Amino acid sequence: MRSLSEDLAEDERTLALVEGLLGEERIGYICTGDRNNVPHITPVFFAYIPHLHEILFVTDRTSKKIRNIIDNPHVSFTVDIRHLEDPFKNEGVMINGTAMISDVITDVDDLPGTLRGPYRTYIERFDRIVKRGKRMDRSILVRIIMAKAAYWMGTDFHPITFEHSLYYGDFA
Amino acid sequence: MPSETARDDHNICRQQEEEGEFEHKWVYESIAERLPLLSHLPRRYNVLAQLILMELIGIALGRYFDLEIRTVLFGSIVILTTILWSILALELGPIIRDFKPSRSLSESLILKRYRKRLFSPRHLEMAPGVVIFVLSFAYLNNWMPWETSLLVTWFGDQANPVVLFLVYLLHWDVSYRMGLGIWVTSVSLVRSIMFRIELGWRRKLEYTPLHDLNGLRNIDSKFFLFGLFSLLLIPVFITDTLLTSFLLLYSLYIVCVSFLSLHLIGGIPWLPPDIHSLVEEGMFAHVGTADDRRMPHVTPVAYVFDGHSVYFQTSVGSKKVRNIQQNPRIAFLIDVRDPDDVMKNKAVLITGRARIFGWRDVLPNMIKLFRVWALFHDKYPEYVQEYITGRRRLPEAWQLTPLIRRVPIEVIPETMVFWQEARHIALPV
Repeated sequence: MRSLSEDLAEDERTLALVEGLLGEERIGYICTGDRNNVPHITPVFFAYIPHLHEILFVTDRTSKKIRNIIDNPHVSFTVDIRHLEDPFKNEGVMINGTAMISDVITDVDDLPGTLRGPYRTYIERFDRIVKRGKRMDRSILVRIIMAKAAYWMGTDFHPITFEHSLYYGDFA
Repeated sequence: MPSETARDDHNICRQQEEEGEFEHKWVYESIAERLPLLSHLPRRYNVLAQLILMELIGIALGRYFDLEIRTVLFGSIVILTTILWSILALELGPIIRDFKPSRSLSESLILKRYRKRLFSPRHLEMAPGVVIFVLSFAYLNNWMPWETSLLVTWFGDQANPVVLFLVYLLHWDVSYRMGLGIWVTSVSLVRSIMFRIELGWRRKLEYTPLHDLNGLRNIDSKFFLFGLFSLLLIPVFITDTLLTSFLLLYSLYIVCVSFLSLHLIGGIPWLPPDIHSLVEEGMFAHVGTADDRRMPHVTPVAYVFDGHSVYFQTSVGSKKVRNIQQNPRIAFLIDVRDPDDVMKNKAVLITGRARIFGWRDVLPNMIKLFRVWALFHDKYPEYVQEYITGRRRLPEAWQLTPLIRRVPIEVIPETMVFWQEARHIALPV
């Protein structure tokens, strides 16, 4: 049986791995569920806000995922790096959490102070995509508040629970 | 996306449907709808009432004209066979008329021509029936070089004209339905051949939805019954070698043509070329499930595609399996990323139901499961090798022990969304 300090050290290591991957990768897969409990997945360009343990992305307010989030804010989010030849090198993070949506973004200053910086970072990072792919007058900001995360590399699997989380189901 | 012209042509097809161009019915369908009193009954009871009525008339005539029990029994067999064919005709007609135009103009036109031939306003479906009736009438009345004594065997030397009239009426019923069988199976074979020829001309997002392809398969598989039901008539004609041979040949023709048509239509991909190549090209997918507390769950998986369905394997004790057991709804996303231009990323999301293949499903699906297993070995040889050589490193749940540790799961599609150049296109399945 491991001691509390060993558990904390393990959580810190897992958090570092989770944050490392979320910081490097740009495309994640969000899974939402509609009122009939039918799952829906879409790839999104995202940014990670380390100090808030939140994931942030901008999307069209008329999209299916937004309609689903309004019905059911529980979401699952996965980021993974695939290795074509060796399954033991596949790496990924899966997050369970709650999604929150903002109003249509007309001005960055309308956002809460803590989000202005991350939002600007997101826009800078995905400037070309945001301008080409999205109509800004219909764009809204989605934040995923992380409740649980799991990092895997091959067959090694490390779950972690965040302090502010409410109970959010099991992972594996 | 279909071009403007193609879209216009689709609209024309739809308009024609709305205007009732495909509303023509087979002669028998029209008669069944107009039968006094019976036409008010639901279809099922209408046919049952016809059967009872015809049987009662047959038995009454048998008693009145003192016919042999064997003759009455033969008459009953013929009536029953005719009614079985009628049920088929009444069931298949509306299904075929309900087909919607596909998203491929050429395939829409094939379906349109198919329906036009089947439900021709000139009632071409009667032609084979008329030929069968005329030839068999001539044969039964000894107007041909080959003679028969069937009528004498059934009714003696002096058959009553009323009985003979009713016998010929039934004779026409049988001939018409046999002819209808020949007509529908032959026209369906032509349709399937045309589909296969046109397949090479599909472009981008042109396709016929799975729902309609399954409908065509369903119809073709029922056409077998036209042939099988005809075998019921063999005891009636067993004393006549020529008619018995004709029945066997008829049955063989229907079964072979239906099988060929079914085989051809079964090989048609239900995905448009752009999505088909994406699904074949893709190496990994993301599978989304949700438990009964509405908690979504998404993980990457390796998958294979057999031309019709996508399959992935997972551990028996995984969260995915537990979720699917609680709620079989599933989302399956396959995407291909362009490393140089994210705007060239492509993805397809298939939502539907998941089917877990457990122990009980092995025997009835042995061929399918073996094919899936072989596809995994072909697509992921390095993975399979790593799993074998690195077995000791694997946790139990990951070990490649089919059905004990890992189960195959099939995604049965219901909806489909395709992303291309940051645009999403919803396509019917």
